[in-house]
This record gives sequence, structure tokens and C-alpha cells, in this order.
Amino acid sequence: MKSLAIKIDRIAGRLTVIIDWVGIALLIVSAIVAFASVIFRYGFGESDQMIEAISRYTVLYACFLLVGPALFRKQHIAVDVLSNALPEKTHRYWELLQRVVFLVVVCVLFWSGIVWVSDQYRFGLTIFGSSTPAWIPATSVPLGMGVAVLFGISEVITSLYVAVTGNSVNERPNDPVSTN
Amino acid sequence: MVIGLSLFALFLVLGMPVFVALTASGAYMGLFVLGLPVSTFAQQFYVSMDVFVLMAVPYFIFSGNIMLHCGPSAYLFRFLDAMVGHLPGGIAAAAVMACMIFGALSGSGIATVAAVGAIAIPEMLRQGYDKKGSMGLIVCSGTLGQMIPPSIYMVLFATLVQGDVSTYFVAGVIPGILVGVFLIVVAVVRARRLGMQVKPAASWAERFTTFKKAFPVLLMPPVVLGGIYGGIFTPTEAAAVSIVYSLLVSKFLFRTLTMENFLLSARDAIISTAVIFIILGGATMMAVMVTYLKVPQALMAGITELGLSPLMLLLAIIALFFVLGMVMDPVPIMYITIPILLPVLIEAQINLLHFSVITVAAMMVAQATPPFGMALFAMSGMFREPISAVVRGTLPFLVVLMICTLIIVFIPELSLFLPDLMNAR
Repeated sequence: MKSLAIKIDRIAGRLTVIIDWVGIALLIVSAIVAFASVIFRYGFGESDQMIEAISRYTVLYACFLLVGPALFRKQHIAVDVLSNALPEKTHRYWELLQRVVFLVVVCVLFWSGIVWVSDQYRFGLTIFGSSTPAWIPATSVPLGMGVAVLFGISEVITSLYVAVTGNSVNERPNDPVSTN
Repeated sequence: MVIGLSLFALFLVLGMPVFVALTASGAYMGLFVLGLPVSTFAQQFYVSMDVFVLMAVPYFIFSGNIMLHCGPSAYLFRFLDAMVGHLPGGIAAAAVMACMIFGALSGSGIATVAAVGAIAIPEMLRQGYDKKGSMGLIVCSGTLGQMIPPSIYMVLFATLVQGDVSTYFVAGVIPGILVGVFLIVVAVVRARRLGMQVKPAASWAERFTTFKKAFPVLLMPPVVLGGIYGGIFTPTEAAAVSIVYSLLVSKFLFRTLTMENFLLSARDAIISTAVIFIILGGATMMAVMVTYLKVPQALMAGITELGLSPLMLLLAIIALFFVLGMVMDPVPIMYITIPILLPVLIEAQINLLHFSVITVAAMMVAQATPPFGMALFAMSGMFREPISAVVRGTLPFLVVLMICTLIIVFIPELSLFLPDLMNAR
């Protein structure tokens, strides 16, 4: 059980690092595209709705992808006043329950995303009056929630291990962008 | 419906992530009460975030992070200190002004507390100021950036009510300056009462040297806001321009930009954005369900029955914000309450611009309110002081923030003068 929990935690840590890099890259692309739209408009007298759309979709993909890693790093905003006041053992089981509820919620959103995107694909919907299929940006929801489901499963297993044994899983990765 | 709302309250109180509480409650009401198709949930999440003006949020956070990591706040504070530091209470005034400018640049109260506090508080202590009072002043001043444009909270509010971001930005200018002036006055009075020593005036050569260093930082708000109000670019494009500006200034003028700083700034920005936007998705989903279930109409009927005047309604909402602000972050408070309150506000003919400023003022108070104000924890962590000490130092300035909030409520012209002027042009 211990080696499994540590192994899963380590894999989740590595996935977090990869998604961090993807998120950084998507944000930079989005900002470059938004800045470029100003340059194009004033420099070349051209304005394209597609440019604005790309800057939106890159951020949307990044945001949905980061839902899972944010759980792994406990970065989601929560009112944790009462739960922090719980006795340690109760708190461990409470964290396990939190992870289970998180997993259920992201599973529902994943399922919802799959249904929504497949509907768009089936009906051949397009965006901004062009031939670009609507399912391309919409896939950000099931993709991000799919990743969140993986993180949810990993967190449920590690929380279960922590709750049952009382030991921590100290295999969290270092800051991915720190060179120290 | 009662089960759905109880589920939300229970999950929230018991420490579930806010977006999980919102989504679980919304999904329950959607599936089991309203019988909506499951694809509605993903659609609501997506549609709520797919708004171009919202992209200003990650861009402003990114540029603010670059400014935070590359340290121009030190130049800003040294310039202001050289200008007014020799006056009684001058260094405290310089600290408040530095918070106003840096807060507007970074858009984050916590970042401002960290950036300005790290430089201003040691200097204030050297001049004999008490540590608690100095920390309290910076905690409350650090929240000013949320009011002074470009404010991330105003972007979020304007998106929620589908308003024009640039009009909402300008509504916060006079109230923001008013709060800053009040904080300066109280800080100066305190300094005089405590008999603080006054340092010799800086020479004009020194003032000019510090000005040269601070100039690029001082120029950023006019560039960003001038671009927006001059019709050169949209608020989102202005935020993208502010990233490029911060990068150029940090790289070529301050020479503090490293690849590590840049990547850290980008990573922190996109994580903060993801955490904020996912709450927006959950809140939108729940708001849609609550609207289908006619909760705002029931709320309005209840208020009509109570016979509350618009002013009383505003005061009741502020009281609600203060209470929620004690236990919750401002972003989820806005996302949870505004969609439900919006029909009520429109029905009661409350000006949304005025209300946006009141909301942000209440959020500023919330960030500095014990026991759970985030700015208090940031300060406590930074200076390794117990939270109780920071709270004691904050109290006089917190009273100032509360009084200013009431002034903003009772004098709507403070919020509406500049937007009216802008619309008249």
C-alpha cells in the first residue's frame, strides 16, 4: 500500500510539472497573440476575430487542465476554518471524504463535457461563422476534467493511505520552474 | 431545491473547495430538481469563461507578478520617501502612496503587502514607528489596488453584470484616492501623536535620481489607462501591453528580469487564473439553476415585503459582505452573490456602477478583517509576527476602511462623477 501510494503520488507530481509547463506555454502564447492583435491593427490595418479567439481558447485550455494539479497542490480556494480545527485523525478522514467528493464532481463534469462535445461534433457546429468546428475549443472541458479525474483518483488513493496509516506521502516534487 | 442549497452550505462550511461546493449543488439541482440534460453543466462552465474581456485577468496578474518578482516597488518607495519622507508622518504617507500605485499595477492585495511591506516597514521601524501599527497600515493600504484601476475585481464585476470594463475602472478612481487620503491622514495623525522623529529632507539631486529610477513604474498606469480611454486598445489588449511593458522595463531598465522570474510569474498567473475561473464556472452553473428555480424573484418578493428602501438594501448587502468576508475569499463572494443579487439590484433601481465600487470597498475591508483576512496572514507570515499582533495594528486603519465604505455608500457621486463625465464627452 505504501509503495503504491508513493508511486502514484510521484506520478501525479510529474504530471503536475508537465501541466505547469503546458499552462505557462499557453498563457505566453495567449498574451503574445493578444499583443500581436494590437500590432496588426495599427501596423498593418488588419483585425482578425480568429486572433482574439485563439487568445481566449489557449487560456481556457490552460485553466481546465490546471484544475487537477491545483487539487494536488491544495491551491483551490476553500473555507477551511472548521476543517482545520478538527482533531488530526478526523481531519485525515475528512480530507479523504473531500477528495472523494472532488472526484465525483469532476467525473460528472467529465461526463457532461463528453456528451456536450460529442453533440457538437455530431451536429457539425462551427464557431464565429467560420468553418472552424465548435468542438475544438469545447474539448478543453472534457480534456481538463479527464485530467482532473486522474488527479482525483490519485488523491483518493494517497488520502486513503494517509488516513489509514497516519503517515504522510513526502514525495511531492520541487518547484518546477525554480532553478535553485 | 432546499437540499441543493443545504448541500452547498454544508460543503462550504466543511472546507470543500468552493468550486466543488458550487458544482455539486448546481449539478444536484440541475439533475434531480430541474431534470436538465447533463451537457448543460459543461456548457455553463465553458460559456462563463469564454469571454474576451476576462482574459485581462491573467494578463494583469502576469504583469503584476513580473513587477513583483523584478523589484521595482523599491524604486517607487524610495522616490516617494525622498519627496515626502521629511514631513511628519511622511514615511507612512509614502508607504500608502506606494501601495496605491503598486497595488494598481499588481492588482493583488497580497502581492502589494509583500512588495511594499518588505521595503517600507523596516524603514518605518528605523524611524521609530511601532511594528504593529506599521504592519496594520500596510495591510489596509495594500488592499487599495483593488479599487484603483486597472483593478482585477472590477474586471470580474463588469463581466458578471455584462458592463463596460473601462467605465467600471474609472468609477473606482475617486473612491480609491479618497480611501488613500483617509489612510494617510490617520497615519500622519498617529505619527504625530506618537512623536515620531523626522528625518532631514532629501536633496533635489537625490529626488531627481530616485525619480529617474521610479519613472518607468509611474508611467505604467498612464500607458495602460491612457490606451484604454484613448480608444487605442481594449482592456484585455491593454493588459497584454502591460505584460510587454513590464518585461521591457524589467529587462532593459532595472536589469532584474531572469528566465526564472519570468517563468515563475507566468506559472503563478495561470494557476491563480485557473483557480478563479473554475469558481466562476461553478458559480455560473449554480446561478443558472437558482434562476430557473426563481430564487431571485422570491428574494425580491421577500425584500418588498420587508419594505426595505434602496439604501437599507445596500446597507444590508454590505453587512452580508462583511460577514462573508470574514470567512471567505472575495472572489467567490462576488461570484456567489452577484448573480443572485443582480435582479434584485436592478428591480430596486440601484446603480450598478455605484454598487460595484461599494462591493470592492467591502472586499477591501474583508481582506483586512480578522480572523481570516488574507492580507493579515500574508503580513503575519512575512514578518513572523503572531496574527493577533497584526490584527491589533490593523484595527485603527480597518475602521478607516469601514468609514470610507459608508461614505462611498452615502455619496454615490464619488463613484459616478467620472463615469458620468466620461459618458458626457
